[in-house]
This record gives sequence, C-alpha cells and structure tokens, in this order.
Amino acid sequence: MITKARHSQSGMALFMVMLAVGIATVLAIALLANSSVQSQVGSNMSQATRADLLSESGTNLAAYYLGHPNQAPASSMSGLKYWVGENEIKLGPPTFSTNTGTVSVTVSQQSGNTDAYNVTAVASAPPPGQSVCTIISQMQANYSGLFNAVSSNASLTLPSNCDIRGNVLVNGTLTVNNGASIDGTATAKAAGNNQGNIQGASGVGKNTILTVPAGSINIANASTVQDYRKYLYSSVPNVWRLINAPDLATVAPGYSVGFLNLVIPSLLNPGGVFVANQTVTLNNNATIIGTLIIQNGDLVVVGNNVSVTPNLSTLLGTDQQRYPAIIIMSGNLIMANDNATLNANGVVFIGGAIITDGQVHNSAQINVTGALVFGGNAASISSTAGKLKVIYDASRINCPHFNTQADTVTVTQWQQ
Amino acid sequence: MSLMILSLVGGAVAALSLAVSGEWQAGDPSQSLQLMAVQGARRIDACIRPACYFGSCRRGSANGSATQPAAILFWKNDNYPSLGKIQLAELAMIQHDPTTHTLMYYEAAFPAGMTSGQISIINQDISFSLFNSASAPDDFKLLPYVTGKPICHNISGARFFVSDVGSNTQRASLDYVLTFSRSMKVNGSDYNATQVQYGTATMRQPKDQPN
Repeated sequence: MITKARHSQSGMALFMVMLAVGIATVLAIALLANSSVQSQVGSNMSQATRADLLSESGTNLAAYYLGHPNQAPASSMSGLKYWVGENEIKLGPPTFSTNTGTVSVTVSQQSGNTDAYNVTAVASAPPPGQSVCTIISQMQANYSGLFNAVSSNASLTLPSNCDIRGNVLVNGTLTVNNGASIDGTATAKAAGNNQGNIQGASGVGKNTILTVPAGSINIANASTVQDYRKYLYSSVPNVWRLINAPDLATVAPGYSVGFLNLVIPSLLNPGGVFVANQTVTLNNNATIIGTLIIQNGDLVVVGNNVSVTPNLSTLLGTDQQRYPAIIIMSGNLIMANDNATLNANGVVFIGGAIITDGQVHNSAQINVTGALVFGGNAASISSTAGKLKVIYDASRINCPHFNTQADTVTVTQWQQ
Repeated sequence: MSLMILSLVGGAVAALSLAVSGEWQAGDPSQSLQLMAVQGARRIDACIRPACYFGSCRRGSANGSATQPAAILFWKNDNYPSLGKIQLAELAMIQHDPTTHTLMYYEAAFPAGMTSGQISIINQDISFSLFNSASAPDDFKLLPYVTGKPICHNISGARFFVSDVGSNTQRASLDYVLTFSRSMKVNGSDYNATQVQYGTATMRQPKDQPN
C-alpha cells in the first residue's frame, strides 16, 4: 500500500515547481514588457521635444543668417544675397559625437518683396523618420539706412579738397591727406597716414583713424545693392503695382541731359527711377527728380548746377525713403569741366571711382547731401576732380541694401 | 514538508503578482495623466505660437473654484483683408470648461459651401475694445459659426496669465497652470490621481495692437 501511495504522488512536486517557475517567467516577461513600454513612452516624448526644439533652432538660424548674410556659409549662398538653407544641419558643438538629430532648412525669397522670405525647417530626431517636426514661417528683413557719410569697400585716400561732415568707414586702408577734414569718426580695417583733421566723436577718435578687425565691416557692393529698376508703387495702401523704370539708353543712346532739361517722375514712372545702360552726360542745369541708375558706363558731369534729388512724393509713402539719388553700378563719376557742379541730394553709390576726363578741374564741385558709398575694388577720389563735400543727412539715407546687415528680422507668419 | 515549502513559494509568487498588478493599476492613472499633460501643453503651444495678439484674459483658478473659468481670447492670424485689423475668422479662444473638465478651443468655422462673398458679409471687423473687453469670451461664443472642440480632457482646474502684450522688445506669452485629475477604483477603493502642468506658450509672430 505504502509503495502504491508513493507511486501515485511521484512527479507532483516537480509539476508544482514547474508551475511556479512558469508563473514567475510569465510575470518576469510581463514586467520586462511593461518596463520596455515605459521606456519607449519616455523616449518618444524626449524625441518629440527634441524634434520640436531642433525645428525651432533651424528657423532661428535662418533668421540669424538673413540678418547677417556675411556670417552665413558661402557654400549656401548660391550666389544670392541670402542664405538658401542647408540639408541635415547638425547643431551643437563639433565635439558632439552623439547623434542628436538634424534639421533641414530651406529659404526662398518671396516674389514682389525682396526683403521677405519663406522659411521651412524640418527637424528629425533619431532614429531617422520617427520624430519629425516642421515649421513653416515667413520672415521680413528690416534694413536701416547708412550710418556713415562716406563708406568704401576698398582702400581709400581722401585728398586735400575733401570736406566730410560725418563718419568715414573704409574696408581697407584709409589715408587722410593734409587739408582733408572729417567732422566725425574715421574707421578702417587699417590706418594709413593721417595728415588731415579728424574731429572724432564724443572725445573718441580725434585725429586718429580707428581700426576694427577684418570681417566686421559690411559695405554694399554691386551685387548686394537692391535692383531699383523695378519697384512697387502705390497710391492706395496695400494695392501695389510693379513699375519698370524707363530705360534712358533705349530712348537715346549716350543720353545727354542739357540746359533746362528736366528728368522728372511721370504717371508711368511715379518713382522717378531712370535707368541708363551706357554713359550719361549731364550738362548745365540738368535736373533729375528721382533716381539715376547707370547699369553700364559712367556718369559724366560737364555742366554747372547739375542736381539729382530722389523723388520725395508723398504718393509713394514711406517707401520712397528707400530710393537713393545715383547708382553707378561699375563705372566712374567723371568730372569733365572746371565749372562742373554736381549736387546729389541722397545716397550716391559708385562702383568705380571719382576721376576727371584727363584734365585738371580743381574748381569743380561734388556736393552730396546724404551719403557716399564706394562699392567696388577700385575706389578712389582724384585730387584733380575738384572739391568733394559730403554732408551726412539722416533723413535721406534710409536706403536698404546699402547696409548688408539687417537691423531686425521679423517673423510675419508661423505655422507648426 | 516539500508541499509546505511549495505552498510558501506559491504564496509568495501570488503575493508578488498581486502587488505588481496593484502597482500597475495604481500607476496607470498617473502615467496616463502625465501623457495627457504633455499633450495638452503641446496643443496650447500649437495654438499660441502662431498667434498675433492677446485679447481678453480670464485667469480662472488651478483648483477649478473660480466663478469665471480661465479663458484667453487671441488674434490667431492676420490672413484676411484688411491687414492690421481683426476679423471674426481671425479670432480664437481657449477656455476651460469646469463642468466637463475639458479645455475647449473656439473659432469661427465657415461651412465648406460658403462663397467668399457670403463669408465677407459675416467676417466683419472686430474692434480692439470688443476684443479686449471683460465680456469678450462670452460674447465671442455667441457670434455666428463659432464652434468649440475639446483639445484636452481631465482638466479640473486651469489658470491663465498673459504677459508682455504689446511689448516692442519681448514676445507676448501665456503662462498657464493646468490641473489634470482622474479618479478610478484600485483594488476596490477610490484612487484619485492629480498632475499639475505648468507651462509658457510664447507667440512667434506678435504684431502691433490691432485697430
């Protein structure tokens, strides 16, 4: 009997142990699975936040480069004045070895407004494709006017007959000859010989050419100056129309504005922007109300009492402040007569230099009320081209793109 | 003897299982509330970031005891002409509903078949004084085609506070406190989980005060 009873219970303990082990195994698997789900939830939240912040960083990066195009990687400028964006940008210090995700940014210029941009930032946190966040925004770069009476993108020498009422900024070496005067500060990448009279400002920079590090000077050149040949005009707010400026050269090649000849705004050209594709000669009393743009060629001043004044018509509203007086994209301003006098009442941009027709014209005069910008590499002022007087006028210098660095970049649309 | 040891082990395993399952049950409301809180914060962010200006704001209370629940009326975009002015379809409001414990999002949604001419008749300019008035949250809900949808549940209390509205140097932002709570039975007894979510949602494209 005893033997039989023992036989009937044999294996029961093993079965019970196996049952207990089975339950424990199921429990352990369930615990692990739960822990894994919790870990995944935490990871998802972390990655979503990371993608969110990365996309915002990409948008902020675009805003920074739109405001500081000179700081943007040259490879991403594509020959344009603005940063076009990059694919899969990794943010953070280069020493970061961890894969923290990437953001791809695309920047495009809006049609009809050269200072407005569409920006798309698509961020992806690792693993790729799992957490993606996209921000689509629109931005407006806001430029202020010039701060200097004379700016030059190349080394410049101020001859003795220069009278500058304002600051001078030179992206090169500045030399001030005996007799030249600067009623303001003189700042340059390198200080040349100074024999002139530099007033300085607030006790700083008197008779001293201040120097600043290379790369900190941003002066417009021919490629960054706004294309004023087409402009927006409105007599009714928010109803804009595009105007093509008349091309003087197609009207009369070698266009010459003579005695009592007026070039003034019209209904078809209310902004008074006049474009010439070759050399323009201005004779006695030539008066231009508007902006003279010389795409190819020089501006030759032969006559006395020649004036160029940007159109200040209120019909154009505040936008009119954005127009300069003269833009000579690559040519020279040539003084070609002893009596030649040019009065420019606004910003004057010269891609070349101020020279003479080969003769000495010491009694000629160039008076700029606004600001003078030398945008090219051949900037110079001939000592025989007469007297140069530049009076900085803050009310006439609010022309965008003569400052390549935007004051502010405003987000005008945001979609996430 | 072996049976006794076995029953002890079995008892221990059962007790462990019970403890684990109890912990899971007790932890579930907290975990789900935590996820809800994060989701709620992200939805508020998504509403406020693209907005242009804050209007009337009712602060409410974090414990849901305020007589006027939290509400924030805002100019959500400037898409319709005329620019710089608020139209009906450019308004939105986030409001706490203490009865249903939800955070509601209100906006004017025109039917799909409506023509632009019909919309322009309804989509009238709204003055800044109306937009900013104390009764604006109630008035807004009475306007035609304004409907609400819940953006977050299980919210027993909400408190809103706006700052830097109209500032030229600082982007306007909405500080919020959301109290999430959820009740359930755990092992036969009532269990109430509470999660308080603090956050700030900042506008990314604030505009000048509308006319």
